Amino acid sequence: MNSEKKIVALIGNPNSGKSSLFNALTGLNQKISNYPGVTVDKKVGTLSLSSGDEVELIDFPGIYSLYPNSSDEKVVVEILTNPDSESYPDAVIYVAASQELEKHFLLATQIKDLGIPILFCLTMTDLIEAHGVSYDATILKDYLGVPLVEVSTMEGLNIDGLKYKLIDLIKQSATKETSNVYSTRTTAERKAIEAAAEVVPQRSEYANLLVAHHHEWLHHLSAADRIQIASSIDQIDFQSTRLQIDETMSRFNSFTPIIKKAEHRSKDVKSTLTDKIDNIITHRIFGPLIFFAIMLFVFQAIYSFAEAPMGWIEEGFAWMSSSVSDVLPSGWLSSLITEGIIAGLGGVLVFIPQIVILFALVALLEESGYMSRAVFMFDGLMQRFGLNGRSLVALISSGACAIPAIMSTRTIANWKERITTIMVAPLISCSARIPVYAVLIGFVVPAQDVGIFNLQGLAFMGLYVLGIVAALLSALAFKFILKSDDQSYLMMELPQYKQPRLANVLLTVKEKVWTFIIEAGRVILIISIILWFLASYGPGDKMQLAAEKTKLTLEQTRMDESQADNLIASAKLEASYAGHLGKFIEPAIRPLGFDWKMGIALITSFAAREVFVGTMATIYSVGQDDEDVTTLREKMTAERNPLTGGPRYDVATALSLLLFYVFAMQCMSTLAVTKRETKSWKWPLIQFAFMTILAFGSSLLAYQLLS
Amino acid sequence: MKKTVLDLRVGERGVIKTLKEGSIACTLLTLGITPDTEISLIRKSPLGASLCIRMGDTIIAIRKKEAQSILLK
Repeated sequence: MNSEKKIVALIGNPNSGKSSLFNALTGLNQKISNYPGVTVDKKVGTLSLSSGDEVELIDFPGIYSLYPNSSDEKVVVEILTNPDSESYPDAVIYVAASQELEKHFLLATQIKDLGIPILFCLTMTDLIEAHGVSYDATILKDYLGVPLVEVSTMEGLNIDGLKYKLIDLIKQSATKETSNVYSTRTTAERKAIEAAAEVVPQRSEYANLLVAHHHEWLHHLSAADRIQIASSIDQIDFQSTRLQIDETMSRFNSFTPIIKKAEHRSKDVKSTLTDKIDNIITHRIFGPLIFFAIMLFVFQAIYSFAEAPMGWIEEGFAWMSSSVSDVLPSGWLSSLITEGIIAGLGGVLVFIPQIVILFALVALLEESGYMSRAVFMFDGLMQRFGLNGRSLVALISSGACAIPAIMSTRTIANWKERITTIMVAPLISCSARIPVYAVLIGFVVPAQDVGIFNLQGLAFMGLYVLGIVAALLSALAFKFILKSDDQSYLMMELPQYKQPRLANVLLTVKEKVWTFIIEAGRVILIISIILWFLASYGPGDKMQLAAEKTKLTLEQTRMDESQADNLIASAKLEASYAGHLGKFIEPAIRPLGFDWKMGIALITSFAAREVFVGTMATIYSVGQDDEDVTTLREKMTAERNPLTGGPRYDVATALSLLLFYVFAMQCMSTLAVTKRETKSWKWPLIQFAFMTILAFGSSLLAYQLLS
Repeated sequence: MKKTVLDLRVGERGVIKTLKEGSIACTLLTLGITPDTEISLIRKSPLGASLCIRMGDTIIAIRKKEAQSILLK
């Protein structure tokens, strides 16, 4: 615990304007970390007050009550029932939107009963006026017995007033037992509170009650504590669900009359702008059409806008690589830095433009309120496949990268739907597959136009559709295999449409890009160093011999230096550990039409799929620096199959290879993230197994049928 | 037959009598779906699997099953 810096939590309902307030208070002074033991992002910012105090502000996930469903929401209860947690707040800024105050009061009174000092902050005062609702703040303040402040984050109104009130708030010490809003407790509750208090002492009786209700999943309880609480509770008639309902009702009954008294409605707003927009956007026919048009635009944007910056990043890394090899004497160090580290970093960073564009657009859709409409429209369809409407966001994100997609499943409350979403998300073609598709597609489909369509373009789209279909069908399979008693919900608030705030969008993008760099970067960097080793060293002196042999042969022919270098590199790769591995797995992949050269590429693809192109370039001695893949494609076209004498990359082989890349789980970073999100090795192993079987099976089928 | 939100026609209003007991009720309550509140069905999803209900200024998307557990007066 930090004794100098006070910790203040921002707590409130989703859509309460909490995140906007957080951004307004901390600006760029924020960072993302993890709550210990749970995989939910913790947004922390620092805030300097005029009194000289520095406050650590934590933006908690939005929740409706301390009886939560999803893992995102559970974190809040986890921390508020654990005073030893480093995130346990000294004070809470409770953020409430000024519409439908009842909903906000439910959680506010629960927090208050925990005995943590609260500042009640009403946001969106600008929206209230538009809706013709206002409140008598004194009545609300007197009822809650806590300080109250009205702000508008849209216009930046009274943010200073809030900070001023915060100075007083953090000076208050946590009061042991304030006047509870909910204090009419039943005998069962009394006994449960005593039982929980015996095991883990809390600051308030209400916190003890929460521990009794949630002991099954609270991580800060030891297994022994859980068993002890469970056995004491079993002896009393503690019907958790019934008691939760009664408590919630009792709170509503307590404050609803107060809110009615404080509320002034000047006009009755019947059909708002939001309604009019919804009539079109969620229309039976136009709704889905608009959705697909938006998706088409999103993916079009990813590919066309990202092309130029991706080129710059690639050039930058090529330049870095050549500068390093100019400066350092050639040897293992120079080769480690250029081919291991710089190539690895480049392989990660090259995807940033696409990820930035996708998440900027997704953030815009979420901020404006559109995404929840899409979830509403497609929830029914997703349910048929054992998914949740919320899975949609994850599946769309997967089009750029499965890693942030898997992390975004935390909002799915139902365990089975969440696992299924995580399992199938990597089947959606991500950006790393594009370079692979681009190299191979020409061997399957000729570059011809049919009507207004380009055949290769159509084939490209076909591979995407294939990924989507595979994801949905796999989800369906998981639906029948996985068993779960968890209730599945939709129950989602559709916020009013509003103009997205640029700052919020930018901060979301920054957050996603960082997670990508850190999550994917770590693994890719390590793997690319391992692969560098495998490709640069071989058993005994075989590599040396291979290189010298090639040199000797070359001296007899006349070849320019770079061509000769490329041939030597190719011979060395064949003699390296990677080459041996490729030959070792050749019998296993021969039925798919692959030879050892493709085997090497499959192995090196484990860092990230796009490494396929670079490996192929080395194998076919094109040289890594080659700008476009035309030379590589020519070399591959010229390659003959030693058995048949026909082209090595015939339609059957190329299609088989393409299918393999559509389905195979060739991304260690994704497996690492799956492991972390599911907290077990079981799920990444299942994911790896089922995707490999799918890839192997479809490649086998395609090759055997066509060849 | 008890009338539930699922029995409402699009555009029709009703007043909540009670919620069918269970964990669904728990979550509905936390969203402010409480007895005596006026509720209206404003639209159905394209495939009819989910509904949009309105209470005051709040619009909430729920599934059919969830709608069935909201009993009306």
